[in-house]
Order: sequence, then C-alpha cells, then structure tokens
Amino acid sequence: MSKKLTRRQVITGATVAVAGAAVALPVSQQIQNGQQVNAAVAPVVVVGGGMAGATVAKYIRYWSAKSIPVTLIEANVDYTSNIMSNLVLTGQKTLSSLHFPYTTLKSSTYGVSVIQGTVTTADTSLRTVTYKTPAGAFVTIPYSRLVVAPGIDYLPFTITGTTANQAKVVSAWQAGTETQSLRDQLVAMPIDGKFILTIPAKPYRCPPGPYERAALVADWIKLNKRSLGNTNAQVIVLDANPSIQAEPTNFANAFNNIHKGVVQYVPNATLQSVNADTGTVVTSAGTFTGNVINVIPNHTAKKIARDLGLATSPTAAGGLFCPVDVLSYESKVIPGVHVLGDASATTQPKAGHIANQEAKVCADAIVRLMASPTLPLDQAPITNSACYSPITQTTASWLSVVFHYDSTSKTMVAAAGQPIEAPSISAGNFSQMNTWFSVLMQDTFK
Amino acid sequence: MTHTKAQKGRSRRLSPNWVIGMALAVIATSISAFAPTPNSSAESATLVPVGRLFASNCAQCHGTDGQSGSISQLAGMSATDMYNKMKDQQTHNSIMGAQARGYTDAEIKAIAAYFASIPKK
Repeated sequence: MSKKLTRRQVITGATVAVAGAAVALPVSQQIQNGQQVNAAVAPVVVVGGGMAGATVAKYIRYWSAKSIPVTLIEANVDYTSNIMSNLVLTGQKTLSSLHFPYTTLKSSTYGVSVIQGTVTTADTSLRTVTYKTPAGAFVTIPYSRLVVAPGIDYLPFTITGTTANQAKVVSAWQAGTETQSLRDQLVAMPIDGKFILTIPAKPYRCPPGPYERAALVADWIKLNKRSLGNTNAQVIVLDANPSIQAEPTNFANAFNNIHKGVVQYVPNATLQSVNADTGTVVTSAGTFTGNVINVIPNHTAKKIARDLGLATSPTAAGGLFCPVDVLSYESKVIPGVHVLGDASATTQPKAGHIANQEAKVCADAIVRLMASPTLPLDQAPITNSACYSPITQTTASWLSVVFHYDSTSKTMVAAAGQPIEAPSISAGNFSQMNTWFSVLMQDTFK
Repeated sequence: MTHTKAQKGRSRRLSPNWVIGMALAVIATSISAFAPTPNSSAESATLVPVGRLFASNCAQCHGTDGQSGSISQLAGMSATDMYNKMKDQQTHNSIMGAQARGYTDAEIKAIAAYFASIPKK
C-alpha cells in the first residue's frame, strides 16, 4: 500500500549549502495519494479554547480532512474576545458582542469534540489528561498529542484596603466582568477624576493594548468629563517599561499631541503597592493618586502549564513561560506536548493574531507527525501579526510584522525593518479595524 | 537511501544527498516559474499541499483559504495576478504593503500558486 516517493517530493524549506551560500527553500512536501491516519487513535487534546486553542483545533481537522480526532477542553461556555474589548470602556461595544461560541467547531464542518471543563492534571508518560466538569466530576481521557494553550495568570502585587475597594482595582486584561466593572467605574468617575493605568513589565499580552487603552480612555474623558466645564480629568500611565513597547511614534503622538494635557506618561514605573481605599499607587517613579485604578499585573503562564512542568523559562519580572520548538510548538521540556499562544516563551509577541498563526504552524506539524509514515516538519514556517489600535473613538493606527524561522538561532526573527507601524492615524484605519477583527474571528472560530 | 527502525513496509527516509539534489532542482525551476499546483483529483488527497502553510498567513484578513470577500477574495485568483498585486503592494504604505514586504519572491510565488489552486466559494 505504501507508495514510493516521487521526484515531485521535496522537503519543505530545507536549508541547503550551494557553493558556500545557504539557501532556504520554502516549498512544502507533497505525498501522492495521501497518507492514511488510523481513525482509532486517541484524539489530539487541546487545553484552552482561546485564539490559539480554537485555531489549532479547527485547522487540525481542516488540514487532516477530519481524519485526526480533536477534543478541545475549555472552562468557559464560550470565548470572550480581548481584542476590541477596550471599546467596551467607551461604550462603543457591548461585552455580549464579543462572545464567540464553539458552535461551528462542534458542527459537522469540523467535528471538534468540545468539552466544558477545567484541566487539572496530565500524565505525560501514559498520555492521559484529567479535567473537572462543571458538576465537579473528574474525567480522565487519553491523548495522542496534547496542545496546551491556556493563556496567562497574573503575578501577585501588594494591595491594601477593604475587600469592596480592592475588588474595584481590576485589570480587565482578560475580557469579561472586569471590563464591565471598569466601564462602570469610568462612567461614575467625577468630572475632574483621574484614571490610573499601570502597565506590566514585558513580556505581556498585547504590546500595544495598554497604550491603546490609555489613548482611547483619554479621548472618552475629553468628551465625557473634561467637556463638562472642568479640565482636570486625566489619564496617568505608569509604565514599568523604559519606553512605549509598540508603535512608539503613534502612541507618543497620541499622548503628546492628540491628547495633549490629558495623558501623563511615566516610564520606568515599577509597581510597588496599591492602597485601594485612598486610590494611591506607589511606584519606583513616584506615588500617584487617582479615582479609578486599573492595574495590569505582571504576567506568568497559566497555572496548568506551570503545574505540568512546561514553564521553565523565567522572565525578569518573575514570570514563567513555556519554551518550545517553533517548528512545531512542541515543548522543549516534555515531548508529545505542544504549547501555543501567550503561555509560550518565544521571540514572538503575545497577541491573539499571532496565536492564531502559531496554531496553524502547530496544526501543520501535528498533521505531519501523525501521518503514517511520519512526514518531516516544515523547516521554514512564517508567522505574522497585524493589529489595529484605536487612538480615539473614531481613528486608529496599526502595526504589522512578519517572522521567518532562522535555522541558526532556531527562533522566529522579524523581517528586516519590522515591526512597521501605520504612517498615519485615521478613520480609514478604524473602519479597516472592524473588518480585520471580524475576519480574524471567523478564521479562528468558523 | 537509509533505513531507520521506525519505518514500516517499503517506505524510505530521504537521504540528505537526495534532498539536496531535489532542492537544487526546485531552486532551478521555481526561480523562473511558479511552484507546481495540485489540480487533479488524484492529487486532491495530497496531505500537505505546496504553499498551504504560507498562505494561511493571509487568512486573518482574507478569510480561511482566502475565501472572504470583505477585503479581497484570494481563492481562485490567477497566480500571475496575485504575484503582480503583491509586488505592487510592497511599494504601498498600507498595512497590506507592510505585510507584503515581509515575504520573499519565492514565498509570494508559493502563496500565489496555492490560492490559484483553490476554487472560489
């Protein structure tokens, strides 16, 4: 039954020395008449149904012509998008408009088995994973490969005050009830109130996101607070980083020109403590007091990734993320387990768009690894990120970056001169942003 | 050709020399022409079509398999048209221009060949 390899077969991206010069060959392997995958194999189990998890589940099914079974385990009944959630703060979007169900993934189009549950442990020798159901039962299922895409947790920070006041110091960096709480607090803020936003040390999810939030809220404050006869309302940005982490020109323009006098940007401000009763935020760059306090804490990989022993790569801020081989996103620590998205430690940013693309590289790799006989991995994957940021309630900017695999460093390296930021902030960009979001979510969930 | 323990039946691992030989043949053909496109039913069972993973970089804006018409539909576009459009885009200051500048000519050709091979929905 097995076919001889033909002259048309080439190995993807094989790096070849030709008269002393290395040449990368970006062509994929073709196999005549396909490879039969044993349908009785245990499923690929995906932990986490966010941007990476949903995309990898969909694409493994799509690219294997539904021959590889996939089970996706997700704690929430559906996904709430972080992308575009800053527009909930201005009242331009509702949280419910950001909900994405797993209906299409479950349907006969893809036939992913979607289970609502929280993964508690895995036995990576026996290749089983255990999850807790909403009813509290524990279920153990086998897997042929495990893809862990659980996202992030926050590192603890010092906060004092009553329970009720502490509860108001939200991060709203995982869209949901905290986003609504932040919106409500901004609406209730006095007209001369101050909104304090703390930005975590890199790496954190969505590099432009916090600056986007500051700019957007500044615009909203101009229209809804400062317009009411008192121009004291302010946005105070306390950035643990030494400088703006994404689109430095556009956001500096936003803070210094477009929202001149409304935004106070303080770099090198490492968060030390928050007093939720007095609204006081103590940092290495000074102490600030405000009415609405929004702390985005330093990040670490979600607990399940750490519990499984995958997160061995530390960050300066004390976080732990999961090192992977970026040809397949297989863990460098535990074979047979892949880690995608924000929980991984790669040279790529943590962002939904790039998580979607990492997932496709992983899906392609898994299809090859599960073929019989196994196919070699694509040696020259490309990933990309494109991301729009509202700067006002009607205008936006964007950033774009394309990564190639570098076989010497074995990392993804940005193309020359990249990332690139939009040359202008415009209403046209704002309109394109809505289209980009809509299609990105279709590609991920449908 | 070398054999390894993991192999079954008559399938063979590719030796490095074979790979290099094929690689050189591919460089020679793809510099001046587009990568071969699968278009027969026998080839539709191809497990990993040429250019498919590259082309998936376009899906976030152009839809899965380039089927979305929201920006522009890529599925079924002639490979020559796509190549020319991408080369033109590389000169633009738009986000598409920025994306296009991230790809080499060979990569653009592989992407164009893949989209040309998919029927428009």
